[in-house]
Amino acid sequence: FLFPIKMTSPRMIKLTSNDDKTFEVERDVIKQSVTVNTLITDLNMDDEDVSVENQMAIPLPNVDAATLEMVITWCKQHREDPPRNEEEEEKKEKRTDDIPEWDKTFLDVEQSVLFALILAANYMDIKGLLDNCCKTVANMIKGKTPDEIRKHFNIKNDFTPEEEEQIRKENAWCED
Amino acid sequence: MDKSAIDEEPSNEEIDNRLKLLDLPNKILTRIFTHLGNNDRLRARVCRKIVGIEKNMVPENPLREIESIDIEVDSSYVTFVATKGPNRWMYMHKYSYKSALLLLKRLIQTFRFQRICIKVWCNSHFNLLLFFLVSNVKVTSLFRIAKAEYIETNFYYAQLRSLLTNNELDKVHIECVLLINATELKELRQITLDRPTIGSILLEDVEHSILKEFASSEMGIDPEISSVLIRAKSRVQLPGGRKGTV
Repeated sequence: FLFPIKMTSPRMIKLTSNDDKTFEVERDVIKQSVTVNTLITDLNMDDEDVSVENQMAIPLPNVDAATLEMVITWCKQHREDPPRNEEEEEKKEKRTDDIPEWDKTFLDVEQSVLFALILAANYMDIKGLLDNCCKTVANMIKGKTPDEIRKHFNIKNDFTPEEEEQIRKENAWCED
Repeated sequence: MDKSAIDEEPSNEEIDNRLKLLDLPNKILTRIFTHLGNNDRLRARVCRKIVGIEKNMVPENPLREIESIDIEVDSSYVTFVATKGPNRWMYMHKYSYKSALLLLKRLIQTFRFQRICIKVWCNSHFNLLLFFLVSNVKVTSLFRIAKAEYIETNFYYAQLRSLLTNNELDKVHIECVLLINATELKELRQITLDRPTIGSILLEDVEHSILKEFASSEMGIDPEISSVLIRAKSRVQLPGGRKGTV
């Protein structure tokens, strides 16, 4: 006997960026966003009887379309990642040399794009993305002198020479 | 997409409006800084007043405002006991010789201590003493307790310092410090009374093989040499730019 196999298409979720662009993303992909996940649960959106056409789009007022597209791309790439245990992550030694190669390339973008991605990851509560973005920024800071950091991040020095000298003295004890 | 828009250089206004590191909330900056080591955090801290680094993220000098440090040296570790005010224990930690020397160097470069006391519990003080001499730190008490006997070497140390203070200390370059045993110390006391040019006498007594052994050893000491105390050899930049041995 052959039983007909019911082919179910993956459940899709609609997300709308703050510039009114709507994205359809697989439920399984976007589950990495705690914010979206909570909203889906709270709003009972996992009801399979509701087609994607009739489904309410989840507004993400803090994320623009370009950034949201990147977030979705990242989530697709990491959909198979094991769930993070935040307690364990906290206990782990902090290191920045463990960013996966794919992420390194993906995050090799202009600073403003990277920072927008950080804000989006923070808002959408995607810890893995947030962590790798923060590590990428930390790597940009590492080994640089204060002047180099200022230049790299376009930071204006607002110390008076006296204040700067004072803070340098305070910090001298652990300078190389 | 309009290609001309891609090729166009962004205006200054556009660049100014772009998201910057310091636009990120403090919570995120803190998260970034947790991935940095102490030195990098401090360098980031000195970039700008409002750089969003939480105060507790900045490592503070554990020995700040310290008035005195006692340093105890045993065969494996150097222990720092720092105090602020009489009898107030504040900080105590054991370091390897190498770490201790690095820390001391940083501390001495940064602070002026009212008192630094080195207690040497065995003959492992070679590196430390060398370091203090090279650093020109004012050591007010240096003594050794070995077995049941207590031999105060302040006398010898004072002699050495007096040799150096006759010159500008900044120009003094101590080439090496050697060790002598208790009997030799007794003899040395007599010699120093008789001969003001103690440095040159010491130089004649230098055992170069032991010196080399110390210098090439990571720990800088041979645990078998239990009777040695202090030997010293100094090369001093004399006034007028002459180099000589005192």
